[in-house]
Amino acid sequence: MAIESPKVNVPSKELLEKLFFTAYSIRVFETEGIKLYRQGLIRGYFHPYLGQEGIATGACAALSKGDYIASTHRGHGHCIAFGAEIKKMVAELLQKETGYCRGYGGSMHIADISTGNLGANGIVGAGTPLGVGAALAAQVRGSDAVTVTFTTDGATNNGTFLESLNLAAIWNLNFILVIENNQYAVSTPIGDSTRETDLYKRGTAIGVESHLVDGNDPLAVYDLMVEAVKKCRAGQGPILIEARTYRHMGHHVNDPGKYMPEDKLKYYKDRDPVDRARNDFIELGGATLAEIEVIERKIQDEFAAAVEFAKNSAEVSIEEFRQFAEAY
Amino acid sequence: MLETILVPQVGQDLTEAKIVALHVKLGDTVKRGDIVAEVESEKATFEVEAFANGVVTSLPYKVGDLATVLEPLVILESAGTAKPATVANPKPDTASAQKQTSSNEKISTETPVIENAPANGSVRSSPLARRIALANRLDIGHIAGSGPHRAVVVRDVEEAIAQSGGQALQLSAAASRLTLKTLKNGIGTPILLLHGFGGEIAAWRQLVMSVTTTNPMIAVDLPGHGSSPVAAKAGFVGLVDEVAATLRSLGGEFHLVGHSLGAAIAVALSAHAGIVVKSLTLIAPAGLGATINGNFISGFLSARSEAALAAQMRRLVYDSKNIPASLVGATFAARQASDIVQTQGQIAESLFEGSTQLFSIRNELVNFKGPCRVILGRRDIIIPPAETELAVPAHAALHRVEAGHMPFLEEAALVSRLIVQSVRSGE
Amino acid sequence: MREIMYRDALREAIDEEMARNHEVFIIGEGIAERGGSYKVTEGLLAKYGAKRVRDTPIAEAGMIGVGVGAAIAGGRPIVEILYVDFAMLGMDMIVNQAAKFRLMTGGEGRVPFVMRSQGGTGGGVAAQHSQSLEALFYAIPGLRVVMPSTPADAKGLLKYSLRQQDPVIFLEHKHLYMTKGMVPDGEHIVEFGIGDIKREGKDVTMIAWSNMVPRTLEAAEALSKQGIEAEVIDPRTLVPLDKAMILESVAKTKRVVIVQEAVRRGGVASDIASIIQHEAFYDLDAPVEIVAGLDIPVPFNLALEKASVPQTDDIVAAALRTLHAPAHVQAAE
Repeated sequence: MAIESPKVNVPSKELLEKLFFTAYSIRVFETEGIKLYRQGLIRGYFHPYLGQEGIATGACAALSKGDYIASTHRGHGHCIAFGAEIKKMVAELLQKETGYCRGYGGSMHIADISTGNLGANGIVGAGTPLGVGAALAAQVRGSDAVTVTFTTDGATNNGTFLESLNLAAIWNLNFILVIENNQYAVSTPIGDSTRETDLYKRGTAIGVESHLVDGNDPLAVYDLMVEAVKKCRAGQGPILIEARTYRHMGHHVNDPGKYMPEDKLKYYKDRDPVDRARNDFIELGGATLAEIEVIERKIQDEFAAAVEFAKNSAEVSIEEFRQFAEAY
Repeated sequence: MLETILVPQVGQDLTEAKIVALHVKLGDTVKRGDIVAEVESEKATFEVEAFANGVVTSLPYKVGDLATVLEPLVILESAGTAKPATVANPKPDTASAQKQTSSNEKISTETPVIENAPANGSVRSSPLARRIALANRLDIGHIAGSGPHRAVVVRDVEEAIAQSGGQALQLSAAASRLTLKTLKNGIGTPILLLHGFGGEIAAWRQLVMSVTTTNPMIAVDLPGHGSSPVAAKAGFVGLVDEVAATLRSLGGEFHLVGHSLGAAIAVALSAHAGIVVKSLTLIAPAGLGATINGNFISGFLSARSEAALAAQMRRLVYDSKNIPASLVGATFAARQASDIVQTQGQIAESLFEGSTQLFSIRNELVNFKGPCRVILGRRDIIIPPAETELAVPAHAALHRVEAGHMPFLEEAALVSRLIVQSVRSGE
Repeated sequence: MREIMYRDALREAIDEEMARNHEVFIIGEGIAERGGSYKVTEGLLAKYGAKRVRDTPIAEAGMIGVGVGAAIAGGRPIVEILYVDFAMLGMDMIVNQAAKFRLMTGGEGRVPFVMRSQGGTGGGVAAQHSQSLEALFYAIPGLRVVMPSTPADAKGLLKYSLRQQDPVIFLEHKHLYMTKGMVPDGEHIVEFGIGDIKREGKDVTMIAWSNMVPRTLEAAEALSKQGIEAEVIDPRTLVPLDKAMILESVAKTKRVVIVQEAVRRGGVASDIASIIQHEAFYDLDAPVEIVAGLDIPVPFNLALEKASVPQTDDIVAAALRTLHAPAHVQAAE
């Protein structure tokens, strides 16, 4: 199956602006976040989504209020694309009481249940059964909500990938599994983890409609997701989408990624998803450079304000934590 | 204003990084986003970016140094600041830090006082047998054991008590002016109970039953209360000094549990020389807010009949059945037999003015560094709990219970448990 | 009050809660048309339909994970796992997802997930279908561990499980399904953390749960014939544990025997003993006795199976040791 670029809809300027806004917001969050990490304001683990922004951006733009997402350890991008507040995310990374999880969760566990964001996950592959579960609860409830689990190529070799996708299939759940194939399981190249590197084929093997898309093309991801969401709501789920992409650096903030071949990295950096969103906005949406500049400035200012908010936020209370522990 | 750029974190567990390049020197002007240095971890080289504009005023490291992660790497004075503050020494003074640690250790190495330790420590016995023998001043070494390996078990102690005629005991408070009673014998630092205004030792009897620690429990009649004489000096300070003198005669180390006025005295004692307070449990404490129900004080003091007294005392609790008739009866009887009402009226005048408390122990409580629990009755109409709560410092644990002014009567089990927790964390 | 079987009591609980709350659904292997291996779910498919009573493939990790996900998203799943031994395939979902979710979300996210399963020995089903694994779940903060011993408790606790907000590991016992007991008519709910005194006594406290409760009651009857009155406490939920009831009883009797079918090493009994020695040390007139399974997987041979877990005589002997009965004083020396 060839890489699909359906482009069935004529994109509106608003849509293109939204895609650029989201992709650039993620880019700023990750690059500025890494600087905060280097200066010790952020501690613990930090897995940047740099280079993969197109997938969360395109996929979440196709969802509606009431839908669910479940994410991965590399989850900042999904949160932002699904509408999370930047300041509450930064506050979480800075371990503050005002963060999404009161500083109890951290980078790998940001969730916002009230909006349907079931959370990032530190266990590779765990989001798939959790997402299928959310889709099951929706079906029992008689709701047409769709659940999207973002997972990784590394997770497709985990047992729950088959177990839960199969459950979604036999029960016709409104479930979309987006495999972000960045071609590495931490540092192991995909060819060393599996003999069949076309991961979408795993869905067809168990009767799940499956597609391959260029993950660095936000608009292509969006168009395919719109179709997938429509089919799900019509009772034709689940659907599997493999979005092929590449990281801009190693597995985490301290991994320089020396094992990533330079020519391949260059190939993907030349097809940067944020540049792609910006160009689409200009070429297809007719945006001017001045408009772009205003948007970029707004996003940078919002991040700076979020850092100030987090720095000035209350520290966690140990006494409250002890009380929480007593009732846990 | 000074901006400090730190040696970057370049690995989860790495504590050092090598400086491989410094792109700035002292006096250089730096812009936000400039690369000021490069550092190398075992994995890779990382560029260090300035996050503010300014002039370089300090460079603690030179190229080739192994730098400590998250220590200052470049210090900038941002443009527009009048006068640079002195640059802090970037390397911590390890010698003085160590010194401080060792002196801290010294403070905390106190050996716990074990009173009434058995003469023969090597006797085998069950914990219960040992506890009961101690409480009855029996030397467990002189009791024949019938348990495994001749261990003394409880039936052996019970037999020994029966043979000795079942002696009771009293704590002798040498040279003390105030009346003291040992309500429970035991081992370890004593728990001293301080009753509230108008109360007496008997108020604690019910609570003592449910406190499960092994520590002895002693109660005192405050000056001008129960069978204690009035204090030498008037006012709150006079009360505190008098109790302090008595405590010093007992050895000076206590867990303090106080109710209302007694709680305020307990806090004040923690700041007294010669008295070591290992923990504080404050039940509906006075002296934190400014308000007290003056109408209750005057009504309580002016009650002439037992019925009026009962009506006033019922205001102390949320559920009126928690004031036993026997307590009202005993309080009334004590009034008939002495001029205690007049004495307490004088004490009240020196402590309260209408509905205002004339003393505060808020500073002493802030300065108390040991474990501290404050227990407030949500339905307290004598001292408003909301006002007290605002004055409770952050380090004290606050517990709100469904009770009036007497949580230790109304929620005895819960209050006992909290006392046990205070005592445990203070040991 | 009616006398019904343990399995019927469980079915009543599920039936009543499914009627009361349309979010409640149940998934498991062979639970729909077949009604489950122990007939607990018989008739529910006909009553509530295929959306709410579903058979699953044999995929425990997936089933448990999907249940946890449904709970996170506000559903009320019951996941039936045939043998608790099989729950081991889904431990990531229980330990890393269900138990940690509330903390990881700063208290906001709740996981009202119920896993029903059964454990214990019974009739030679051998090592991979007989283990008692409550200690594994007990050691994971965030889980509630429920182990009913009677039909009434089974019904009341299961109903409560389906109304509270945290992940519940509901462990039944294969030997108890066919046992009978009185169950109150109408609404009957048993909250967590409240133990039950199954027999009052003054001489020794015996703590037991699940299938060890009837066995301990037998031991108590035997002791009674010797003039010793044992108090038998069933905590009913191991997490949360009714410490107050246990400590109160120990303060009265001064002696304790804890009985568990699970292996001796690293067990819940050891933890309860540790709580007692810490909080009631000076109440004790004898060492706390633990009667537990041998530290070995359960063998197939029926005589060996019996030898691997506590029997009535073992419990009686332990009680006599705590009383320093003369024969036992000698034996201890």
